[in-house]
Amino acid sequence: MKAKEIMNRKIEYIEFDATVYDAIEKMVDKRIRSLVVKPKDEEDVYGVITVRDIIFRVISKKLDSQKIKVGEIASKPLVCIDKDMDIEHISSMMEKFNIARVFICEEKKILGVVALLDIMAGSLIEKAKGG
Amino acid sequence: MTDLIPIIAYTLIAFSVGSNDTSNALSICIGAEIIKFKKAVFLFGCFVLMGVILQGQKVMHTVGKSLLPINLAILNIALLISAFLIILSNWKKLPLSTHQVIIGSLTGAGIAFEVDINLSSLFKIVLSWIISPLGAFLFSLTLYRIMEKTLSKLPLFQIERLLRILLVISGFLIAYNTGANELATVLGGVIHSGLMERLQASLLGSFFLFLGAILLSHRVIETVGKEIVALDPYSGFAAQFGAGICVLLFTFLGMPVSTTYCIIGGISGVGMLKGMGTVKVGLIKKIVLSWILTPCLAFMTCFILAKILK
Amino acid sequence: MFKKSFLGGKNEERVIEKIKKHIKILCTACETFKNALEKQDIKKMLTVSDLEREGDIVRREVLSNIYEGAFLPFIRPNICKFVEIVDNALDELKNAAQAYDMGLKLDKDIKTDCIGITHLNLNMCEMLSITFEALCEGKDLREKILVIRIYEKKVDEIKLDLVKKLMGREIKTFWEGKVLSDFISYLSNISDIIEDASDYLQILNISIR
Repeated sequence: MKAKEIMNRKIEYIEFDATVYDAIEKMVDKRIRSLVVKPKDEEDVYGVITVRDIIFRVISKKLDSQKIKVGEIASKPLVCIDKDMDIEHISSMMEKFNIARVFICEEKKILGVVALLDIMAGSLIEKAKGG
Repeated sequence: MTDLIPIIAYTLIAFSVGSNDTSNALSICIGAEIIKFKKAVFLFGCFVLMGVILQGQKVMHTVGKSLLPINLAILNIALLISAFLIILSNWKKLPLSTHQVIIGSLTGAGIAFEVDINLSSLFKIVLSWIISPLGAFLFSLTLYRIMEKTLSKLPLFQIERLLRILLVISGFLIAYNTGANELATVLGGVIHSGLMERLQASLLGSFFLFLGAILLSHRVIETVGKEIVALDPYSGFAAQFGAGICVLLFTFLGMPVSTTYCIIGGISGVGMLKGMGTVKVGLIKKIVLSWILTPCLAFMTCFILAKILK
Repeated sequence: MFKKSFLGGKNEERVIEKIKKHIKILCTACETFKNALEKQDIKKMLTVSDLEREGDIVRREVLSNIYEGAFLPFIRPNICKFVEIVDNALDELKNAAQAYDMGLKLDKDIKTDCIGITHLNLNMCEMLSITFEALCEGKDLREKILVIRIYEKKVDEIKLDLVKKLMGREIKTFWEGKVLSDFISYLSNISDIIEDASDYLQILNISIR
């Protein structure tokens, strides 16, 4: 099973200089766990901010989410993979780098995201179809 | 002339057995639409004949020879009263066991005529009556467990197909037992008193049993059989087949036992496994009561009548 | 002679083959619908109704075979119920096709989502077919049924998004809005119905043990 078959095409973006509070609000409203951070300028790249980042770097440190910018805690660059990569490949990559999601990129565009849940569902579907 | 009375009596009893006890064998198969009524009854008759001819002699021997030395007088009274009681109970829908009526009658008449009753034989018979339903309980329980471990592993539609065959086999096992045990009990006295040859009596008895089955059993199959049919076919098979094996075992030992009570035992066994709670205590009380009253009633009636006629 | 009349199995085999055919018709109908939607081919869309009719015929044959004496009376109601549910899915698909035929104009993003739903519906039908085969072969059904549920949740997600998008859209007439709403409903109901059907297969599976 390939990345393109299980990826989620709905990506939510957030501005570089938005506050972490804005990010939290967006995540709650849209029920998602990660946001792609837009580049600061022409030379910058996309980044990602996740629920883990917010919890471990802001909330548990008792910092004020309204004072911290998203760009300060986002991870850059995005971990990108090809849309034809195999599920097994993706999951070993995620294990190796200890990340919960990877992005599917083509040229400069982000096509979608594959998270752990997508991998689990994809493996199950593959198994059910095959056996 | 006096020869005719026991013959008429036992053919009436055989007819009665056919009309009432066929449901033990066939209610599941017919209820599950595996086999049509006419075909089922015809095959039922064949298996009854097979049973009484191939294995009836042991039970016949116990009832007609081991228990007490039968003479025509005893036979006349015993069979007459038995026929009367059995027909009455069928008509009034009372749960009377054919075996118990006959054994009770023979014993009553025998004592009245002051012949030697073989007490050890009688004791063994009564013991069998008590043990057989418990045996059926255990056999059915065990069989169900075995089915869980083997049959359950198969694909759904194969289980369903197998069950259809198994239910038919089980039905015919009961039919065979009806011949080898129940009919044999009826015929035991007739044959060992020298009234008729074994083959003759078996054929005549089977014929009348078959007649009863074909003419009157359908209404019973539809109603009385509900106890077993209420169970799903899977459990129904375990209950019926377990009971059948138990009765077959006792037939080998020459003991006349009731298939009906064994089936109740089997149903209780499977029911307990499935967590249907304990068997209703009220039902057990009724059964025990009937167990005690039936042979006593037959005994008393025959005893009194025999004394009068003597 | 004995074996033939008791083992028989011919009736039962016939019913099983017909049920497989019934599910395949559902799959074909879903695929046809999806292709028609992608290419905006009304003619093709209308063939879905023909397939639904074909499905009806097969369903009636199955029911009459069953009541002619296939299977133990004990499991017949469950088998019939399963066939009825699959038929409901076909009906819903036909309704959706007919709604589309009313001249629906779908915006690009709405159309994309609808195609997404039909794609998932098709996956669910195929998985239902695989699950039924597994039932016939005595394999474990749970994982396959879980996959169907996963698909159904995905359909739910798309539907939620779809409705949000639609709420921002301008509707010119009541009927335009109604037909559009019906179309989306029919489309998303199919996944619920197929999920129901898969649950019934599990019920069938454990009923006889």
